[in-house]
Amino acid sequence: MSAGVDLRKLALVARFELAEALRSRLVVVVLALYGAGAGLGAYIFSRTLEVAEERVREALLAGGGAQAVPDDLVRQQALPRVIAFLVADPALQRELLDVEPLALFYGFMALALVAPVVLLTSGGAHASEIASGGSRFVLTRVDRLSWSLGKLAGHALLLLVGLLVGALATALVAQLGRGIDMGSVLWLVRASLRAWVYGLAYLGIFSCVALLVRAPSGARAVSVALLFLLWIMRSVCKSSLVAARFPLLGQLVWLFPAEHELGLWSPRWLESLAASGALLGIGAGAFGLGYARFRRGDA
Amino acid sequence: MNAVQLVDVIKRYGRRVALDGLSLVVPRGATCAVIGPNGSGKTTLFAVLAGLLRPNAGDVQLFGEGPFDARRHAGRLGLMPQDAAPSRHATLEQSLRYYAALAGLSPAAAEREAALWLERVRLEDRARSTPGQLSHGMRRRFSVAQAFLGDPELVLLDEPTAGLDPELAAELRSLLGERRGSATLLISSHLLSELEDLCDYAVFIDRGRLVQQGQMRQLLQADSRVRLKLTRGPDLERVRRRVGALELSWAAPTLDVLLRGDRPIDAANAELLRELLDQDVGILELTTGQSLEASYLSTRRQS
Repeated sequence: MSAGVDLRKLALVARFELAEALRSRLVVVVLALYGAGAGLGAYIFSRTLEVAEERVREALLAGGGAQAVPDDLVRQQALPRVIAFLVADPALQRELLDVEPLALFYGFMALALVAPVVLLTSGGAHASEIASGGSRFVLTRVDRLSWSLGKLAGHALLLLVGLLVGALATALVAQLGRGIDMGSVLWLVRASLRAWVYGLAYLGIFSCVALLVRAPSGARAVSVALLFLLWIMRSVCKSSLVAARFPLLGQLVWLFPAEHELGLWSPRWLESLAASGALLGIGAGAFGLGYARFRRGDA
Repeated sequence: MNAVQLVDVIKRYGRRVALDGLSLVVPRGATCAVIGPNGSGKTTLFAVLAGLLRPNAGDVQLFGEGPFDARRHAGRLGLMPQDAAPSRHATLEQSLRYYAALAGLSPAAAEREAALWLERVRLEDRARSTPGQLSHGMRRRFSVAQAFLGDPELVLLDEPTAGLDPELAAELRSLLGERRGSATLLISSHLLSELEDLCDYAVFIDRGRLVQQGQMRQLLQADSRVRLKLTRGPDLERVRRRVGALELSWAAPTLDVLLRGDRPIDAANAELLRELLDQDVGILELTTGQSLEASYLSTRRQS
């Protein structure tokens, strides 16, 4: 068996997989719901921000006795309250003050939802083709590595499309409300890319499960169970009790995608890059594990 | 040069042994019937040849170049699996173009091939249908079409006519007949009569082992056996005395004649016909060789 990837065939598989996913009603509905959710969330967030600003304005007016308070001043006072609601770390709170509030909201929403979205749209991708026998039409024409990676790449692109759809919905809501400038649009794109990197870790994990389980419903069930397990294990590893008694176990938190969630937002590029690298490493490692079994086994 | 060669191939599913030291050869250019009862390992054999299943032991050679390797053999091997569903949401045309492109064809050639094979399997009017909109027979024809995309050198067809109505089955046999000689075909089917007409080579397998293999004429004893349908039973002793080294068996209305020794079948046949006419026995039909079914059943009994 030859090693290496056939990039031409990988691209063919990825393109077909993306098109096939976009032809699926389930995927379209999930992405539409995600987009609608992002839009609705953006609206609610904008309203919440307005209320917070109004309260700050009232407080400033009452304290200083002024007739009017500039919007910038109001926002400087209101935004930290919202960020404090999202992030506990005071240092990161200060750093996030530079980020456009709507992008901040969308970024956090996308990070929270990306794992279930990946699970719904891409969770059983490899498994369903193996289980239906469709892979038998393909694996006589393309090597297993190029096929597996091609499908992974197709779903990575699908996730990016979905996240950008959500960003677009958020931007549209903002435009209809208080208006949106180009800087904020760019922030939304950056937030989407951060969520994408985060989602790639889960895509790798779910693809691993699909390659190991090989039945779509079984793969999805195991993936859901794994999500809970990852959450529990991370909580255990992070607990002060474990950190005190088993310091080595405490270091294992770096293996969990959620541990790198906030690192993605850091304005310090080295920190952000390290978080991205860790997430991509987790995704690649998990995928590699599943592929190693698939390569040696029956298709 | 052999298109396929297996030596002592073992394939297990857990504790169940599907291929139990299977060894066989299929010459290049042959149209080979793969015959065996249910569970004999035919489908496993095809999947091992196509690289979908990994054998536990033994040696598999395709074209003398080692086992299936997608990089080396992509586009050179076509497989029509027994139960496989293509992509659910793509149209037939999109799927075929995709498969052809993966086989190494350029986009333009892939488009041409897809259109050509949709026409050959009479699905051109369903080119924009998805698999869910097709009948079982149409899906089988699609499966045949994808197996022949790009003219592969070796085509594995697992029960190609299963579930087809008689007219479509005949059309498919005719299509396979047209491909005979241009590629090595391995065809498994329970309809031995269709394999007898279509194939020039056969392998019999049972419980994952080879029972018999060889040229179809040899297996059917076409050079040493004659079957005659007669109006009444002849005097078998008189026939033996006149024609010589023969084994005769009469089961109305068929006289089965097996030649012994090196005597040419033409000469013995002429003698036999003269004797039957002398006995005033009417000859309704004469065929050489036994049926594939009879050959298969007698081989199984012996094994």
